[in-house]
This record gives sequence, C-alpha cells and structure tokens, in this order.
Amino acid sequence: MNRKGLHKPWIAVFMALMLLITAGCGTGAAPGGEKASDDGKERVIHHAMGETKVKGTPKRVVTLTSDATDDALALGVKPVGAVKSWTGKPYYDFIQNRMKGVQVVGDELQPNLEKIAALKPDLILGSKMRHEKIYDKLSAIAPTVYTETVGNTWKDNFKLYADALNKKKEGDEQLKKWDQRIADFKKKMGDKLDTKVSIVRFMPGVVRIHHNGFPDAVVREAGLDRPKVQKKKEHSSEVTEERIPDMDGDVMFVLTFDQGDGKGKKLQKEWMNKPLFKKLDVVKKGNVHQVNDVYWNLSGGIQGANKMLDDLYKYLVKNDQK
Amino acid sequence: MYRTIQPLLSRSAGLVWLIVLWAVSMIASVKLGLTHIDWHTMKDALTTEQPTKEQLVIQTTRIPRALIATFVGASLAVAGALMQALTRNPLASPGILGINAGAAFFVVLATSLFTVSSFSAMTWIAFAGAAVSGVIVFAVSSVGRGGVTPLKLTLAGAAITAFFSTLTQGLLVTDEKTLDEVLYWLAGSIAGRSLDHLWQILPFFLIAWLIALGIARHITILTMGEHVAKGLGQRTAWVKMAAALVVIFLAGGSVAVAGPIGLVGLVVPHIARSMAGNDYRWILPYCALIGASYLLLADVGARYLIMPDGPVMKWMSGLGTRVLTDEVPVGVITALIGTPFFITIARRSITH
Amino acid sequence: MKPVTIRSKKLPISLIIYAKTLTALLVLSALCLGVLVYSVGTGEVPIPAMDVIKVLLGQGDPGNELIIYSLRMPRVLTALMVGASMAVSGALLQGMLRNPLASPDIIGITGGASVAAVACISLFSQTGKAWLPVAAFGGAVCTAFLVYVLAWKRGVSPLRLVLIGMGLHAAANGLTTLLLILSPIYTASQAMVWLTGSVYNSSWTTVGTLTVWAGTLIPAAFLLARHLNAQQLGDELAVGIGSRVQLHRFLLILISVALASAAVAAAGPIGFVGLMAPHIARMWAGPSAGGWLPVSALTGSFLVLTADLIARTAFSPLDLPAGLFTAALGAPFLLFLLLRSGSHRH
Repeated sequence: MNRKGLHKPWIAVFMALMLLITAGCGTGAAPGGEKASDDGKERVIHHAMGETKVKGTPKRVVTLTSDATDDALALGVKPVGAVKSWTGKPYYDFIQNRMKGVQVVGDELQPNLEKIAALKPDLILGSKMRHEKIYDKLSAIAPTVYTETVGNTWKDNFKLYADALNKKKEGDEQLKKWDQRIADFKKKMGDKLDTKVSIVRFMPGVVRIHHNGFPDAVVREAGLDRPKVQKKKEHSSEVTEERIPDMDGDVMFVLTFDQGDGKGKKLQKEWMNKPLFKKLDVVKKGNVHQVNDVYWNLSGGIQGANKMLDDLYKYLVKNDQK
Repeated sequence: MYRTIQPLLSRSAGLVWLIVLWAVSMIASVKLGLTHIDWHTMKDALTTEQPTKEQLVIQTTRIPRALIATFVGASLAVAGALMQALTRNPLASPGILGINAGAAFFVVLATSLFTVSSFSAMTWIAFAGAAVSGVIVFAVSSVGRGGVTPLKLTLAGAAITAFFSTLTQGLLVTDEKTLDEVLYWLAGSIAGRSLDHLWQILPFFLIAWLIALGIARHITILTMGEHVAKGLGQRTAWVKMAAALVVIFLAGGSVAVAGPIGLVGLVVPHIARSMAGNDYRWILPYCALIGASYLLLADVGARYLIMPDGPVMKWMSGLGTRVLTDEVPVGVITALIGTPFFITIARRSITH
Repeated sequence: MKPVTIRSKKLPISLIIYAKTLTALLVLSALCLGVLVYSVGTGEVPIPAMDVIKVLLGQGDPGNELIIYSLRMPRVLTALMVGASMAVSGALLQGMLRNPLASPDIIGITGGASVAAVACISLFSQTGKAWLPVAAFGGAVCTAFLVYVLAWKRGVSPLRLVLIGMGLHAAANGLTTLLLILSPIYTASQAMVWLTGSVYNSSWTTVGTLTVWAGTLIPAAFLLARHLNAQQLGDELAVGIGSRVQLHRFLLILISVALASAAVAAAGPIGFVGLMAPHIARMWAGPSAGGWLPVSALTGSFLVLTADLIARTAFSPLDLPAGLFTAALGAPFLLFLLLRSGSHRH
C-alpha cells in the first residue's frame, strides 16, 4: 500500500505533463493571454462560494486544508504551497516525502495571504468553514475553490478538488476503487456488519466521543453500526468523566491528538486507567484499538480514508476469522 | 467594644443552619447530574465492594467534585472577606482586584512557554502570580495623598485584570495547543479535576484558614479604622501581612485547582456579614460555609445549563454542525449570578 | 497659544483652532501617511516606497498591485478607520462624562458588542455573518442603555457609571465564554483572535461598510464638538450658556456608541485605543474639542496602524492580532492614569 502511494503520484504527474504537451501549445504558450479560453480549456467549477473559472490543468496549486493536501497528492498533484499539517514537522509523516520543497503558507486557521500571493499560484483550494472571510482576497490572487466544510463530506470534497485540478478521470477511478474496497469489506464482514463501533478521541484537555465527523462517515459507509448513544448528527461530544459509559460498544477505536508534547497521550492514559473506563464491556473483552489520529481524523482526504479502511480490515476482518 | 449585642445563641443557630445548608448542597452535588442516581445507589456507594457504574460515577467524579467545590468555594469566600475588611472596600475580592487574573496568567505562561505540568510547581506559580498582582494593585492605589481609597483600588484591580488577561489572551492566540487545553480552566471549572490536586493544595488551605481564624479578632478591630486599632495597641502591619499571606494562599490555591472563578469572593462576604454582624470570628466561618454551598450549587447549575438533550441544546441542534458539550465552566454561572450583586453593591457604595 | 478663528458666513459653524493644534494635526497626518505607506510596502514581499507610490498612482507592476490593493490596502484602511472611530468614541465619552477613565471598553460597550457579535458568529454561523455589524451595534446600544440606567440614582455619577460598566463587562465576558463553548467546531481559536481585535479578516467590503459609518459619524462628531465643549463645563453651566444639554448628550452618546460598535464589528474589540488616544491627544491639542477630536482621531489611527504593522511583521510567520499590542500598551497606560489621578486629586 505504501509503495503504491509513493509511485502513483509521479506517474500521474508524468501523465498530466504529457497530456498538457499533447493538448497543444495554444494553452501553454499564452499564459495570461486572453485567447487561452478559446479552445474550451476554461472550466467552470461550482463550489461553496459560487462559480469559479479555472484554466487548463493548474500547475501551481496552494492547498489550505489538510484534506485538500491529502487529495491533491492522491491525484498526483504536488502543491507549491500548503498550510502546516496539524501535527508533524511541518507535514504529516506519511506525506512528508512527497511534500519536500513545498512552501508552508501559515496554518489552516489563518493562512498567510502574502506568502500565498508570492507563490503566484494558479489555483487555491480551501474550505468555506475555515476561510470564508478571506475568499475575496484569495480570489484576487488566483482562482479559488472552496468546499463547504471538512470532515464527513470528504467524498464530495475529493470530487470537487479532482474537478478543479482537472483530474476528473483520475478522481473517478480512485473513487471506483474505493467503492470496490468498500464492497469487498462488506462482503468479508458478512453478518458481522452489525458490529457496534465506538470512536473516542483524546486531545490535550479535551475528550470527545465522535458522532458525525470524518471517521464516522467512513465507518458508516463501510456498513458498520454504532452504539445508539453515538448516533447523532452533531460532529462530536466533548465529555466529562460521567459519560464514559457512552463509550461502550463491540469494538472501540481510540484516536489521540498529540503534538509531540505528550499532553494528549497523558490524558489518554489517565482516562483509560479510570475505574469507570475499565468497567466497560469493550475493555473487558479486549476490543480497544489504538489507531493513528492522522489517518482516522486529521488528514481527512481519500488517502486517510483508505488507510482507515486498512485498519478496519486489520482489526475487524481478522477478528472475524479467529 | 467590638463585642456586639447579638446573643451567642442566635449566631450559633445560624451556624448550624448553614451547616445543614452545606450538607444539603453536598448531597445535591453528589446526586444531581448527567448520570441518573437514585437514593438507594447513593446510600450504598461508599460501602459497596463491587460498585456499579453509577456508584463508580459517585466515587470517582461526584464526590471529588463536591469536595473541591467545598474547599475552593470556602477559600474564595474567606479570601474575599479578608480583602474587604483589609481594604475597607465593599467591592474587594480576589476576582475584582486582579489577584485571580494574575495567578491565571502565571499558570498559563508556565504551561505554554515552559511546559510546566507538575501540579505542585503550578501551585507555587499560582501563588507567585497572586502575590505579584496583589502587590501591584496595592502599590498603584496607594500612591497619592488620598491613600488607598476603595475606588482607586477597584480601578487599579480592573486595570491589572485587563493587563493580565490581555497577556493571557496573547499567549493563547500564539499557541493554539494551549488554548484548547486551558479554555475551560480559564473560565473557572471544577469538572474533571482530580482529588490529587486537592490533597496537594489542602495543607495550604488549612494553614491559611487557621491563620485567618487566629487573626479574626484583630481583623474586626482593624475594620474600625487604622487609628482605633493602633490606639488599642494592635500592630496593624503584622495583621495586614498575615491577612495578605492568607489571601495569596487561598486565592492562588483556588486558581491552581479550579481556574479563576469570579465573584464568589465578592458576593459571599456580603451575605455573611448581613447574617453574622461585624465580628470576623463569626463572619469567617459563615463565609466558608456559604461560599462552599454557593459554589456547590453553582456547579450543579453548570451541569444542567447546556446538558445534552436539555432544552438549550435541543434549540441549538438546528443550527449546524457543532461539538456538543456536557457542561459550562462554573465560572460562567458565578459571573452571571454575581454581576447583579456587584452592581447593587456598586450602586450602594457610591452615593454621590 | 494663538487661536486661529475660522468662521463660515453661510454655515453656522465656527472653528477655533490653536496653532499648537494645527501643528499636531499636520504632524500626525504626516505620521499616519508615513506608517501607511511603509506598512503597505512591508511584509512577506517587500515593496520599495517608490514602487508603492507608483502602484498608488496606477503605474506599478501587476504583482505589486495585487499585493497592495487586494491584501494590504483593505487591512491598512480598516486599521486607520477603526483607530479613528475608537478614538473619537472614547473622546466623546471622556468629554461628556468628565471622566478620564471613560472609554468604550472600560464602560462595557465593546463587551456588549462582542457578545452580540460572537453570538452572531457562533449561533447563526450560516446567516449571521452578514448581520454582524448590526448585531454589534445592537449589543452596544443595549449595554450602553443598561449601564446608563443602572448608574442612574438621582443623576448619573461618572464614577458609578465606570464601576457599573466594569460589572457588566464581567457579565459580558461570562456570556462570551458560554457562547464560545457552544460555537461550531474549530471556531474557538478563531473567536479568540477576533476577541483580541484583529484586522486580518478585513476586506474591501469591511472598508466599504466602515467608510459609511465612520465617514458620516466622525464628521458629525466634529460638528457637535462645540456642544461637547459646553458639556465639559458641567450641566449647570452648559444650560446657562444655552446648550440643550440632554438632547446633545443623547446625540453624542449615540454617535459614540455607534462608532465603537462599527469598529468592533469590523475588527473586534481592539482594546484601549478609545482610552489612550484622547489622553495623548490632549497633550498635543488645545483644550477646545474642535481641535481635540480630530487630533484624537489621528492619534487613534496612528496607534492601530502601528500596532497592526508590528503584529503583522515582527513575529513573522505569525500574524498576530493588533489588539494584543494596543492592549499591552494600554493596560500600563491605564495604571499610569490611575497613578497620575491619584497624585493630583484629593
């Protein structure tokens, strides 16, 4: 899986370049020229802020969300600039190699507009939820495409990004592969699909029970069930100790957000040692699994989703065969 | 002269009454909340060998909370009473005079810049913060011919509060990690605090309370005026020093455990004085009991205000994706209840 | 001091300007312009002053033009107007209440505006943002009204007003915390930036809205300046010289509240500008409000412009809220004021 992930982008980039060359010099030779749009190369992208026209295949892309970076890389596009990842220095470990030389343009909550402008991008990918107020400024720099939100809409986001990056075909292929994997997973799970999956996340100072974020969307799509108290339309609940019983389920996945200072891990240890936690059925049965917060929550794109599905295979399908 | 006419009996009766109030608040704090707990479960919770989930909730969260609320509430109230007596300012309290803000800033600074996480270190840092802001406020307001006037003290307190909370905000804006971690604590919260913290701070609280009771008689004399006290042969400087030390231990310790919970120290002494008269040997125990009950009940309120599936959250559920939260920090409740008190006192004390 | 009197024959306006005031106005304008040009030229992509001027004259290269017009200008102009609005708002309050400590932040007006604005952002995130300025104004007016009513006890004592404002400010903080906790995911840290006061998010729309508010209210304040002079003399004297005290006071308060809330809606509660600017201005300008108000406005602009310049560049790549720096300057200033008033009075 890892090896595949490393090679594919280069093939895609190569193919994209070939495509560009064969598509005729018309577009390539007249950057900024008015006539470029004449040969139907200008595409209208419908997105959270309205419509944006994007010319040809963007080559200098700036990504302002974690999922945009994840998806762009998956589609074989290496951004020229990206916001700092939530953890990692400066990007998540699993994309670090492929992000060499990519300029950090501030953080996701407050991107550095001048750094973005200095990169002279030809496409900016962001999210209305995060960057609504700076849309006008970004649009003045380059065509800007926003998703509505991040997290549980990851599939729509991926389609939108693929569209904007002029990688519709690659995007559809990957989604088709995704669907096949999901179908395969469901088949292998068989009648175990009613497994109730509990998702708990520890952050410095905060403990969350997940309801409807990114991991929840993937688990839902995989056909798995959730404990009744965790089926809510809100993103998650920030809980006090009294809510520990709500964490029970057939299997529990534990996500820990830790930025290297050990604070998230410390809190997790504290909570998992509480008598109330140890009393949970899922704990007694030994069905608690620590998973990677980057794949399960932070990255938020198609690569994260696939890695999450790997985990579901690993922990659920295997158990099934026992 | 400082002996009042009120008979000992009625004051003792008041004390008994307050002990009952505190006991009822304790029971309410243990019984009420997200997890439904019936009387039977509660009765067995302390003796059972094989606790149920509900009984574990009582043992591991409800009882620690109730104890912390008791000690912090009592300490803040006693600190407030001493400050009001010392400054002869009805608006004085650890929150208003910037003591809490100073302690909070020092704690956030330590967490954020120096990544201090041991609680005992944090306690001393909170003491230092309380002391520093206390000294600044007092120094600033004592300049000038009028000496320390209530108004100058209050304004200096406001300025110091503004100063330290700005610095705290600055740290948090530049350091999101710490923001998430301390947002709750910073508003003043006793949810999720461990009993270990309380045990570490308890010796300071107890010593401070004992000193407070020990100097209570002198405090009463001091409230009659510096001249009277000196005339009666009191070494006022020593009394003031001792009282200041007590305030720093109580306020700093409370902030270290539960964050800067505001307006408890302002409101409670006024109630206590209206019940107990002018003798601080009575006022201080009254304060402790009322303060404890007040914070216990406010904490119960904090559990219900935005409880999931409660009325507020039902109304909010139509308003887009969000993270549900079980409780508000108790500091929000005390601020909202305390403000009308503050305004009433301010209106009463400035009459011209 | 030599006053210069400018009297219009047609309009019922007369201006008495002291030479000192005139100098202050000129120096401050030059300073503001200087910071403005420097600020527009400084950042991730440095642009030399000559090129900045070229761009401003419409002769620059497109890259610079983009950075200057789309990114830096809205921000700088917002800072300019927010500073002026806060300063004039504070000056009006100080003049009217005859209280050196009165300012929109200290008497709780910005606190009220913030509660309403945060409610707008967090409770009604979908539809709320467009109504932000209106909500902030509503919150500010309600708070101002409450402060005034609660401070009323056979007349409004300025001291009581300040104390009650402080009390309401505490309640406002409590409510703001509550709203932050109820806010949609991830906005807590954005709200924190907003609460400190930042011009990061300003766009040409912000500039447009602010121009309408500040552009009408600040001149209105200047026109009413002579009534402010009367108010400063105290109620009896003001009535004595024929000033319709209550009406003018009401108008001036309304203008002050509106200016403060417009500034809060645009950039959050940038702290202490309303307190500091009028005091600094008093040292430069003469005692007449006709000169004092414009000097205050320019001082406020200068303060916020400089604060944002530092916030934006000194800690790069961090882009900090400007309010952090005005407050870091303002809180000690408040202590200084207390020290000074302590040694002057009694």
